[in-house]
Amino acid sequence: MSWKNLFTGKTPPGIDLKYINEQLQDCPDIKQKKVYLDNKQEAFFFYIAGLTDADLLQRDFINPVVAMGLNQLSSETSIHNLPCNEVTLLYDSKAVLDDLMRGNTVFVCTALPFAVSCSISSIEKRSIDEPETEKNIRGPHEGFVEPMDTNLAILRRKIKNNRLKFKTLTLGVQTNQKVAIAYIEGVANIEIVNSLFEKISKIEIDGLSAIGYVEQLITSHPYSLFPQYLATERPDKAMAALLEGRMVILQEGTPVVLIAPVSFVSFFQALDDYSTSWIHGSFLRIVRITAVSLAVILPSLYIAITSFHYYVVPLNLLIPLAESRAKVPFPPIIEVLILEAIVEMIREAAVRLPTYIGTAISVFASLVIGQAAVEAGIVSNLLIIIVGASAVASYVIPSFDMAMAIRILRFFFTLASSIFGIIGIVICFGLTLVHLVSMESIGQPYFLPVAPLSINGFKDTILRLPIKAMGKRPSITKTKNMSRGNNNGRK
Amino acid sequence: MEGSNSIKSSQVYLVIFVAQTGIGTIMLPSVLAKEVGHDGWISLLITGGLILLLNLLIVMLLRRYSDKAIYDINKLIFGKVAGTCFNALLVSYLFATTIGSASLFNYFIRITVLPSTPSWALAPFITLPSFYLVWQGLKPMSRFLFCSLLNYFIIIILIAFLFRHFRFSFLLPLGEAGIPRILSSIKTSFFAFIGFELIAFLYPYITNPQRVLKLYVSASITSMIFFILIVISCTAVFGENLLSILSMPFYNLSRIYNAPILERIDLYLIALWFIPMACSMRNYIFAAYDGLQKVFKLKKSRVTYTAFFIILLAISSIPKDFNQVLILIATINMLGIGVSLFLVLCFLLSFIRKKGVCTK
Repeated sequence: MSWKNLFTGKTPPGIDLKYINEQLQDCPDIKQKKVYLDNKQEAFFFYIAGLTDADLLQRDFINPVVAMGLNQLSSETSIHNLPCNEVTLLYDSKAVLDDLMRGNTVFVCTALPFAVSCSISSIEKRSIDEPETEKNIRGPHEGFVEPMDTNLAILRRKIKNNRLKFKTLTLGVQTNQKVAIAYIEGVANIEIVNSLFEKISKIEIDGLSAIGYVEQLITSHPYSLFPQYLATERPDKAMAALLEGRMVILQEGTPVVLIAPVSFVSFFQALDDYSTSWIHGSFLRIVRITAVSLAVILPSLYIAITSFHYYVVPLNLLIPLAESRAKVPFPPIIEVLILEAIVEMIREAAVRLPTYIGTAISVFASLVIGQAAVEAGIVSNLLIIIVGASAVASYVIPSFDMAMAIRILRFFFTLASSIFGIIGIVICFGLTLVHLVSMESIGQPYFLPVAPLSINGFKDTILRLPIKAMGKRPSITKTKNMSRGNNNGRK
Repeated sequence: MEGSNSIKSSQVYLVIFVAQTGIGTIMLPSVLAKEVGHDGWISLLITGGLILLLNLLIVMLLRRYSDKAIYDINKLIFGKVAGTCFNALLVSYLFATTIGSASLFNYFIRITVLPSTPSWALAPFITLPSFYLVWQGLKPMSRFLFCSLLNYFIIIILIAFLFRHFRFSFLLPLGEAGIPRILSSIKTSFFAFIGFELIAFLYPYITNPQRVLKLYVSASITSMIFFILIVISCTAVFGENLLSILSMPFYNLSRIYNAPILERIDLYLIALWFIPMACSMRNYIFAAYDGLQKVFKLKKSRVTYTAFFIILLAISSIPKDFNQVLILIATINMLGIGVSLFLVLCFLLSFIRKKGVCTK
């Protein structure tokens, strides 16, 4: 290759061994095995050591190629008879390098007008375990893993239907990572699929170390507190979403997939709601909705009542509350902020630490907060109960992203109530609601089925009605095939 | 038509119903008690009938001009110059109503919940949701209106709980005030129904206008039933003498209910009712800002929108006490009657000046 081409970054036409070698300088992981065809013509096998199965490479690629000789290798037909998996012919040096980076083995011989690529990859991967952050009781105990091919296979194994499609594209200017959008043809709305594909294909970034990058780059409301894509590691959840007409975004290198379009209530639904009786499922839903309301409102209501509207406290409770507050030198807002800050720190510490230390921290923290803080007169007894209940309530939310949103939202409510009392809570509630009704998830209303109203959607919102009653797919998917299954199990 | 502003006829129902009832309900029972004693509900029934007639005429006017707003219709009927002048007056009316609603809203909160909080701190805070939502457009606004309906159900449940406190003898004898007093109270009752004229400004945003008449009329009927329910409840609980000296009987209604465990449940109910009040105000804010854009060719931008809100907050803080707010509201009531009659006049003139009239 001339110096001019190197300078401009242009690739020379055809297969240029010198160019390939130059590009692979300081890449010790890339191996180059030299062979001689017919004992005279020099040729090379390029492969990445950690990504290739050495035994298969020797048996199914190197041996047959060397045995064929130059004459036979010149015939494209003969090459396709090689006993290895996925044989591809490459006609320029750039394609050779790209293919090599994907983990394939490439055979290059300067006497041939093409290079031969063969997929004999062997990647170290962890086993398919249940996700640590999304446990369930009666559902399957498997989770997605990092290699995307395995994840696609998991989905295909669950949905044995050729209508399950994957639209793939490569993202990451430096990393060239594969991203796929899974959907079921005829169930998902193809216009929404295409609009999502278009959004993702516009991403221009060096690399995606987590699927959160994709999520943040395609989100319609980047300044919103609320998640607009449902992240999960559970294939059963992804499968359920696909059957409802939603799309699943998978990315190479992460076990987390994104589900879209989703509504606000999607973040409060868990697989266990469906795997047991509808009465149990509905009970769990009510527990979660109550928990969210408590998580958001309890601390701010405490501040509003103790600072502004003490007259709403029942008389029997007023005296113990006054006694408890009498020892505390701080105003209620400072009291709440101190305790909330400690709880948030403990929570963050518990996530980062190993399980055994995390448990010790929890015990220590509960002792410190539960007794010492009250005895030292930093906080009141009632506040311990309120903040504790509020913290536990926020753990009930199945989605980590939504739980985070609720945790942050609580601070806004707390601050507003410290200035405006109950009006602060009402206005914050109003602001949250106006934000939710104006949000969209890939063009679909986020606050469905409440606003706009969808009676059908209410069958799977506050209550989870029997499976037979949920004959229609959610309207948020805008599917043209609204009816589920063959009469949805009804006789 | 902008996508974020397009609404369905069913959403027009919500816009009109909440615009009428959100603020109009608060003082209505006592104002009517002062004028017609315990016969306020008869006044509302007669006014409701008149409003239905006006509803019919307004929709007929709008249908004659297909998908046009009143601003375009005025230009067709009165010509470009006179039409623009009338449009400017209409926008001024919307802006005045917005200011009146904002002042009233602010004073209600200060009187009932936060008497010590200064207006300059409270007013910007309580208008924050409106500031956000009006910018988002009419579609999310009407979605939010649906959420606010929950508050109406809570009020109806409260009235059901208070039923044992009702003394129906307070409502008798029927028609004691006499026909002349009842008829003269129509202009007072009219204020409660203000909000129905908004359809003339929002008509181009309706995606299925063929269904609008039924839902528009239903909104006024529902408002009438709601007002009558509130007035009858207040009269039956307090009696006309006490009612006439209460400034906000709607709130006092919630104060007499003693809930088990919870003390002073009225605080929560008052707080809840702020949502429909804000919604009612928000509908006018949208119409006023939309009118400014259409009539004065104001471009929708963050700068003009923020300036609009700052001016709104500044002017709405001018009334120094509650009496001044009441004077402002009385003026708006008269302006509302004027605008309604103007719309009827436009309908009649559309048969003389037929330019732009839809021939289908």
